[in-house]
Amino acid sequence: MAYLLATNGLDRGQAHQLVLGDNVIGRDADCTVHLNLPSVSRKHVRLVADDPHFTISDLNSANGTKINGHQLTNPVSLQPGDVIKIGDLEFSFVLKLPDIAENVSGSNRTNFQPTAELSTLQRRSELLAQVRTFFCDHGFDEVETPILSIDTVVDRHLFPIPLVIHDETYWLQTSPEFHMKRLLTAGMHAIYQITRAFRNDEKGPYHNLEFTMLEWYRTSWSTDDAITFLGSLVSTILSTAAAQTISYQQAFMAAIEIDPLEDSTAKLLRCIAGLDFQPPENWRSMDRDGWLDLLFTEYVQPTLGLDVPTILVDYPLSQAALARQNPDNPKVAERFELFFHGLELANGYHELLDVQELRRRNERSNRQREQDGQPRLPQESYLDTAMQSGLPDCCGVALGFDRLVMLATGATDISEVIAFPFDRA
Amino acid sequence: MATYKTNDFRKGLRVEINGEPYMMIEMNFVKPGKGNAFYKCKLRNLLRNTILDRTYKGGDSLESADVEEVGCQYLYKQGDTFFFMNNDDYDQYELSAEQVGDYWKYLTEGMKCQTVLWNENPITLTPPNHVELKVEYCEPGAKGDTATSVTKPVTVETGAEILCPAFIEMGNIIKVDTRTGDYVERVNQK
Repeated sequence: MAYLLATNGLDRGQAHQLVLGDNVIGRDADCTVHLNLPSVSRKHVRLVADDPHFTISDLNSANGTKINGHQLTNPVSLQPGDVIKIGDLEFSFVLKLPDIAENVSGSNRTNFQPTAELSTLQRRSELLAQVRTFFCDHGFDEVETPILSIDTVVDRHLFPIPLVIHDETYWLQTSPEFHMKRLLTAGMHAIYQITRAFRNDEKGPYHNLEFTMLEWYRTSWSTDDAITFLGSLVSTILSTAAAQTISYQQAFMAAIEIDPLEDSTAKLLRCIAGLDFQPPENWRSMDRDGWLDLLFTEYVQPTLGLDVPTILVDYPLSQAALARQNPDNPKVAERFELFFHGLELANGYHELLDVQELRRRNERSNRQREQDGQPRLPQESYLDTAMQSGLPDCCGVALGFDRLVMLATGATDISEVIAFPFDRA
Repeated sequence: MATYKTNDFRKGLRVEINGEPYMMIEMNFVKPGKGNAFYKCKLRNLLRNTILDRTYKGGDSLESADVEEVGCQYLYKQGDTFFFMNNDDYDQYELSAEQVGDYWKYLTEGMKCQTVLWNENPITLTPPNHVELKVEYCEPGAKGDTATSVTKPVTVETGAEILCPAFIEMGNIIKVDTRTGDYVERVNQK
């Protein structure tokens, strides 16, 4: 049977199924397809479905109907793929639902419009300016580094996108980390940039394959300095009360009475099995960090930052990424993350300086990638060279700028704050 | 059978779980920046209409289900079996009384319906949202009673009883909403 597939507005991707026979489309609640918008008349348009014949006629609507850009005056026969404009709303007429309902406009290029409201894009522009002012006021230099690099971060759970240029494999950056640390090693002290990062296979209400990253570094900062600065940036930009700090361990204890650092693996497994949710079928084959991630995303993260931005500190050493081990508590890394309204907004490290440890972590990540059936990533890098020559003591933080705009505007889907998300790029 | 990997997951996907067909109706990608990716899905069982909540981890997969929606015409009923014909290729389908459920009340010969095929066998039936049915029998209404608030049961041509306003008479044609089973209006006869 046939469908009207919304290709603009907030309902984008929604399919309205047509019934056989008479379909009235309009603002009245008893219409077959009910569109509650001011630009739609009470009874706007009639679509008679006598499969395989579909006839459409305008019911003297106030704002009219357009088929493929032409004003509908006399009844016409519809063909699959026709673009129907009812008031301000645009639909694609299809006989079968595409497998990717959300993708329809991208795959057939019928809709060139941005997914974000223009007013949101203006707000985004203001936020960019505010962020730049904040960093300028705090003595940071804005830098620009390549998006395309011969090096890439070796991370078990990141899927960087390779590009072959002159028979050499380059990578779209997953973050500007390596280049920025090279600048610190070369002698810069306080730097930030707003750039694009790419992570394959990430798509959802809070993920777009290509996204905007705000990243900054400062030498001679303690972890506490970096946490204070992050909290002050976010509470200033989002006009909230001061950020609070809680440890990874405390957050788990408060949410599900599990101690992520001390509890035995057996206790962790009993906890997952006893909880009121359906874990992935083969969850027992994951490792301890996998189980912690599972519990974290399901039970802990949704409780974080409900009132004020909350910075989670002291991550388990096994999740250190490129943070250094805490010299006072060897079970944890000097890694911290900021959450607001349950959304992960920023990730920061007191940076690892020991090149031997970098190599061990890279090797471990690559071994885990191989177990996961993922290709190894190159371990030699300019970062390795820079760290050999002496990366200065520093802290660095990466913040998802699109999510900052989401929090500032109350958006619930990242496509509301990006002009052209990946499926319309 | 094709296999869908987690990065193929999206709304509308038809998959098979424990030998039954499901449609993915919600898919939420959850991933800590430096951690494991999870896919939190809601799936609707296409046989029983029940909802299943499932979490998958990156790299998991689901078998595709051979599910397709086709237009068909109601032909006739024999015993407990309802016979339908595909509008395009004239294939005949049989649906049991259980599969048809309450929709038997609205089926008249030649009525265009939709059915969902799973592995080429029909599993569910959807009649048009509105059908027109002839009233075979009803008690006469009180004279002059035109209020729609007073109702009475009438028997329509399919043998089903529908609650109608008192002014409906034998031989009238009424419009019924198949989603609610409610009387909508009396259809003017030419």
